[in-house]
Amino acid sequence: MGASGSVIELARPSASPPPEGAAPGFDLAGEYDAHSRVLFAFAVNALHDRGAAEDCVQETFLRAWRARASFDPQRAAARTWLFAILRNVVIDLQRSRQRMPRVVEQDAAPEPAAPATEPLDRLQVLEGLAKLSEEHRSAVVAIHLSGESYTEVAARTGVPVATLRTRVYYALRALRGHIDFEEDRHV
Amino acid sequence: MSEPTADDRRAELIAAAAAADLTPAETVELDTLRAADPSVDREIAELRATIGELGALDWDDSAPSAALRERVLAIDDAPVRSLTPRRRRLVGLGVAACLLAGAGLGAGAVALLDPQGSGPQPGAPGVLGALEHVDFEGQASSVSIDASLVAHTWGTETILEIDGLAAGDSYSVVLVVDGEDVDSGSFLGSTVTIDCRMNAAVDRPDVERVQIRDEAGAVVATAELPAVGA
Repeated sequence: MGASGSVIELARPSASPPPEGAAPGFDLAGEYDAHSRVLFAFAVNALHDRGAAEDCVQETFLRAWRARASFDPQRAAARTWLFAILRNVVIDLQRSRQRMPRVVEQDAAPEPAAPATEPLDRLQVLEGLAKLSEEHRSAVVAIHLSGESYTEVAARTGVPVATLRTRVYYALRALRGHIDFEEDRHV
Repeated sequence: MSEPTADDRRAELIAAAAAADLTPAETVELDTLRAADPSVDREIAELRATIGELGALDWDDSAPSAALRERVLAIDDAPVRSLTPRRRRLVGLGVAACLLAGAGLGAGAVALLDPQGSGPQPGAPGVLGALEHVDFEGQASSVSIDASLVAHTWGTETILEIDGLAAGDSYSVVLVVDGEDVDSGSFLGSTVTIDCRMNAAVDRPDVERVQIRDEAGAVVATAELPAVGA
């Protein structure tokens, strides 16, 4: 019941497999249609800037396209590969922004701001949320980010409370698994 | 829809406990469950910890514009030349060298990972994502500089491999735009090869030259850039 579907959306087979004997390809349109939404979700929530997020997604596909000969679907799913590229593109942009001087009137100089760069663990949380299926993510967002009660969400969406609870349960477990995996990878 | 299983009910109760959403009857039910299964308390604690890591987020669930799809699908597949051994070494070993010499890099230096060889490949000046080799001049004969630029949508990346600069001295990389300096970061000279990447928020077509300067601001080396599209 409640945990219907995959919690973490798996990469959909977006393109026909290459003919036998053909070089492994990278179907730009197919991969874009399969992954752009989740890639954009990560970028826009990391950057809080739609234009910059779209630029980052475009840059990611540009790099992937230029390096498509080295892409080995046996080593990693396209989504994993694209996320690895996008993560670096976003971090790169954030660091570039940090180095941009801002000219302000002396009297208007603000207090030192928090670092513009999202800490790595923050990006891991955002990436984990972006990778959740829409129904699992929306349940987590409604209950634990927007502060709605299960009863309120059930009334608004028509989804039973029991289903919402199990969705949140499996979503948070998947998110925990993603964060732990990324932390282990960076040790 | 299939009937809920015991696992579904267990998941429901744990999720509800993590959100403090249990009814009195469910609290009693959960107490019975946790008495029989000690892992219930651990799972509630884990879920609460994960909720804590979410922090305060205003999640934007909007979709990218239709124009982005058109832009991505219009990515030009310009002919890509084979990498020479020299360029392959710069691109392929750059990360390792940067990591080895990391202690010598200044705050502005950015080490980029290169997942599965997704680094830039040679291309014409100003082509987004392409590696543009540039020649520095004016440096002392003991100094070796191998440099490239990459045009990005948000600015210009400078990739440097340098030997021979005084160890411990501070150097800056400056992009000159319309006669004005745009700082791209700094690094320390080292006895080992310096291999780093720096970024400046200026479009590649606007950059006239790239300079490496010493701590006093004196120019150590200059790369004059070709006009993009010329």
